[in-house]
Amino acid sequence: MCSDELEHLLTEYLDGTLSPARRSALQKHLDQDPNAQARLELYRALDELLRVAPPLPPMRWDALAKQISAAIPRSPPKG
Amino acid sequence: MTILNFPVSSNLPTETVSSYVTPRPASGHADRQAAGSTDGNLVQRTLAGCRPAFDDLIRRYQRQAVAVSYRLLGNAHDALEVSQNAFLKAFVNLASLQKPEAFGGWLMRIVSNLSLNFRRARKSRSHLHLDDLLVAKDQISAGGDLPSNHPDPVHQLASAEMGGRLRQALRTLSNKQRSAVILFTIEQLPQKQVAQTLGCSVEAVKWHVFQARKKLKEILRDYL
Repeated sequence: MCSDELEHLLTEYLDGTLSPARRSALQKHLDQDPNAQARLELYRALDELLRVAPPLPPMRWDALAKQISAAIPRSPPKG
Repeated sequence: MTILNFPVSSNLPTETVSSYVTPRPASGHADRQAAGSTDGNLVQRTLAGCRPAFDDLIRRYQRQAVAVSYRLLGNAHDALEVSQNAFLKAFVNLASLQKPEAFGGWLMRIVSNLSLNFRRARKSRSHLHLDDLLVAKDQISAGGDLPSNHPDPVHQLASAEMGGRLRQALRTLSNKQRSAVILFTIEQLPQKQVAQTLGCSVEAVKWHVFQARKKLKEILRDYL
């Protein structure tokens, strides 16, 4: 298995989008290959980083909803 | 009213992703009613002339719209403007939506397209009252309407630095790669919805996300 192919599989493994058979095969590979396990952990850490940063600045959501609503016509959209 | 120009990478205490991806529990009667309505119901009621139904859609999707636009643009003011324009465009074109239940994905496509166009054009700013929408620093420390997740200044500084580095890294991606990784990995939308938003296949989404992660992994290696 080439490096790119393995990394693609590792990301699909993290996303839970692998078929049960491929997931099982990859799991066996991971059990025997510390390098692959380390790469998996790197992608896992990347996903965690992406999900916490950059965070949204605090916003007044109620005020935003009112402002957006005020900018939209009161009459129904044309069909 | 002046437009604020404070840097988005400020070390303000911030919300967690889950606080704007997950809908808040309904509080009032109208919210409880909206919580029981599907997107399809709300779209149909809007088309039938019930304007408050569209307000429910605004409340339901504004956080996701702002979050997606913010991550694509890296600027909160621009994200607010784009989000407002996206809701307006969605309202005007609502009758053209073939599947009312797919409102969320359709709206995110509008948000993504407008954000990418905004990046290209960098047009002059509108006169939204943006100052009123961003919570001021002193109000947060005084117990403003959003809690502080990171009261420790060192943590705030590290988070701000990491946020800036991540924004730089995201800018190195192609538009498709950036949109795919933002919508799927960061906003955690289903791959099918991301595919609808980007106008490509699920397989193409997987590929764009993979390419994006591969690049980001190298660029952000020091933080992993």
